[in-house]
Amino acid sequence: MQSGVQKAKRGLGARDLVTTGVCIALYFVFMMVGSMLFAPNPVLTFLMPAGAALLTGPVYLLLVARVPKHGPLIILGVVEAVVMFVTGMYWLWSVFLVVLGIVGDLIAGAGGFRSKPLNIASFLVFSLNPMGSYIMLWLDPTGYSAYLTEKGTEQAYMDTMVATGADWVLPAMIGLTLACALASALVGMRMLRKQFEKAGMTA
Amino acid sequence: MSGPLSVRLDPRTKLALLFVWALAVLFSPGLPFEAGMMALAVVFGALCGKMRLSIAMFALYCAAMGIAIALAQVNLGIFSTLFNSFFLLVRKVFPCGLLAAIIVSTTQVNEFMSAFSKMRCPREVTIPFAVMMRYVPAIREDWGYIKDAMRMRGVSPTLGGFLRRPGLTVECLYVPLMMSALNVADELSCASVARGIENPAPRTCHLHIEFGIADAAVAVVAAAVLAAAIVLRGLA
Repeated sequence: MQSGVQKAKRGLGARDLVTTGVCIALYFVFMMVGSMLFAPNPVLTFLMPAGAALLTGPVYLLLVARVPKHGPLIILGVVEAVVMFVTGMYWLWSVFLVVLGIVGDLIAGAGGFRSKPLNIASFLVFSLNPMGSYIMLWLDPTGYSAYLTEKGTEQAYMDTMVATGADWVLPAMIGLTLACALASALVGMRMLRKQFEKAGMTA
Repeated sequence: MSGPLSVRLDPRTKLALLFVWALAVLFSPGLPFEAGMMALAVVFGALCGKMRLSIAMFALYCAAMGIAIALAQVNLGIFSTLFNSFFLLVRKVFPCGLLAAIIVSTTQVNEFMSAFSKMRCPREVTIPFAVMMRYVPAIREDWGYIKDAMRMRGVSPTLGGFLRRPGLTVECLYVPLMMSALNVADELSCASVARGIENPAPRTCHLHIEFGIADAAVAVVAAAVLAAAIVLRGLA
């Protein structure tokens, strides 16, 4: 088995690109299902990143295991970012997807895409991508509440709301998302070892 | 492939329209503007022969916004933040979501591919993108078979079944989905290599792709909407 770094130099063939596309489709579907569990309930909307992280781990790790090269994770980030942007999600989410896709690629690449802890770490980082659409609530509360209310009269009301809700919600969201991502990644690793490696389905 | 009223547009126009729509939602000055964009998307859907889909989405949008306005009248403390961010999501996502649904359902994958290659998009993005668009509907089909297979083994593909036996349910769900995905990926890549996807020469398309009068009309409307969004935001 040669190292991933050497392989990466050869670039992505049509087969790798098609595999990446199929995995992106699966990732997308699982992300949607994970978010939809929470989307119909307005109170639970902040759980959405955790829900998405909980379901997508196995697919992400399968993509890394199947195409252990630089590129697929960046493509995953870019394609998801385009889909999110054109469906009118908050633009910072798309930025997060691209940036975290690149970061995830570098983290997994540091272990030649074969180091299990690094692959899991890469997924944990990437799973924080939906935070992009929520982070504004903390980075720029006034801007975000202006964006939410668009009426000057409600500004004071929004401010108190942001002040009371913000402090514990962000760390809780990040913590919960990471916990769900870790659980998902561990299940995914187990599945890959038990079924996919034995069947010779990983590269 | 669509209704009798359908208008043929250049796929590049459709992509540009979608992009402009997303930008306009970003700059949008408020709910009335987004409702107007939603109405325009419904008109576009009707012109493309997707009347039923458009009307259904529009009705859902109106219902959600009605609830949002009603809820805005009462103070629920922290829950208001949660409700607000949810309805904001619906408000911002629906106009683009409807347009994206119309465009994806009225455009064939090869039209998208030619549009992308004419825009000189790198293959590393276009191929996964095309495969993804093609494969998402297939996942739904697979899901039906997997549910049947799970029932035959006595594993219930429901939330209750998941709570009773999480490990087994997750395994029975993910393993076949991912296995069939990998098999499909192999088949698709063989098929596409056989059809010359690795050919470095410029891609050609049987359909004649060219900007026409309909494209110009759509471009004018889209530009006007984006300009209005930016101007109205500046005024507000």
